[in-house]
Amino acid sequence: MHICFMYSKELLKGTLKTIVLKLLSENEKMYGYEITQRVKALSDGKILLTEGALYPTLHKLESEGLLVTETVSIGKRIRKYYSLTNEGVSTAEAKVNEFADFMLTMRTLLSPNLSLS
Amino acid sequence: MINLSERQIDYIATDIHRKGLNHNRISTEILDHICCSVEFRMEEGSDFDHAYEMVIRSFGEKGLPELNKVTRQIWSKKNRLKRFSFYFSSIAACLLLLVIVVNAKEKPSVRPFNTDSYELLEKSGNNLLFKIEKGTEIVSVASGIVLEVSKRGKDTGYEVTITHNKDYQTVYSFISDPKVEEGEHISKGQPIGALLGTPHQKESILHYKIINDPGPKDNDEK
Repeated sequence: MHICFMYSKELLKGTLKTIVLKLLSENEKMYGYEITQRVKALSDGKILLTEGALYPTLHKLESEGLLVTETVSIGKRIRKYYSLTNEGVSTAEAKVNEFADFMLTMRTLLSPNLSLS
Repeated sequence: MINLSERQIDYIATDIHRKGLNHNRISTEILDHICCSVEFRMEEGSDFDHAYEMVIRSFGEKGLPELNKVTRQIWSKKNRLKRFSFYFSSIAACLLLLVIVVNAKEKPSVRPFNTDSYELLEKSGNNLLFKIEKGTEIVSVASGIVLEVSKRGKDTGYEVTITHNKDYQTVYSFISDPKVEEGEHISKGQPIGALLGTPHQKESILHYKIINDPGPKDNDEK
C-alpha cells in the first residue's frame, strides 16, 4: 500500500491527509481518480497516489466528518465526489499551516551549516 | 475520448467483485476509478484487455481484498462509535428522567402533616402558614438530614430545619416535643414533633418554610 514513486512511503504517509484536504480546499468537489491525476500533475509525476492509500484516507476523513460525498450517475458508472465540510475547511487550514511550519523546521535541522557547528 | 461500453463496465464490475471487492461503500467508487484508468491507458494506445490487466496489476495481488478489508474496518469502527454514543445518550436520558422523577417525588408537594382538616392561612413565596389542631403530628415532607433543632423560646417552641439532598431545606416552626436530633437521617413522613398549642385555643399555627438553593450552613442563621 505505497503512495509514492520517488519518495519513500514512510516519508509520505503523514502527508496524505494534508494533500487531500488542501486539494479539496482549492476545488469545490473532486472524485478519487481526479485527485490522483491532479497530484501527479502538480508534483511533476513525483508523487503517485495509489488507490490502496487514497481511498482509505478519503473514507477516514469522511468518517471523521471532515468530508461529505455526493454521487452522480454517469451512464452505468457511479461517480463519488468529495467535498469539505466546515470542519474540514478549518482542519485543512490547520494541517497546511502545521506542515509549512514543519518544513521550515526540517530545513533548519538539515541545513549543512548546522551540522558543521 | 474513449468511453468504456456497458459490457466492458459489467465485465470489470464482475471481475473486481470476484477478486474480493464487494463492500458497497467502496466497490462502485473503485469501479469508476478503474474505468477511468483503463480509459486513460486506452487513449494512450492500449487495447481494453491489456489496459485492464495493467490497471489491476497496479493494485497489487492483494490490493482489492485489502482495500475491502480496510474499508470495512473504517466504517465498522465508525458504527461502533455510533452505537456507543447511542447507548451513552440513552443512559444519560434515563438518568435525567430518573433525576426528574426523583426530584418530583422528593419535592415537598406534600403537606407536613397527616390531616385533611387544616386551613392555609397565608402563602407568600415559600412561606406557608397553616392553621391546624394543636398537638397535630408534624412530619418531614421528604427524606433528609436534620440540620438544626433550635429552641425559639417558651411560647414559640422549637424550630426544626431539615436538609434534603443539599438542594433545598424545609423549616418547621412552633414545634413542641421534638422527636428528632440534629444530624439524624430521617425518612419522608417521619414525625418531627407535635404542633405547639396556644392556650385556650383548639387550633394553632404551623409556620412551614421551604428554602431553595440554600447556601452554606452559617447563612441559614436568622
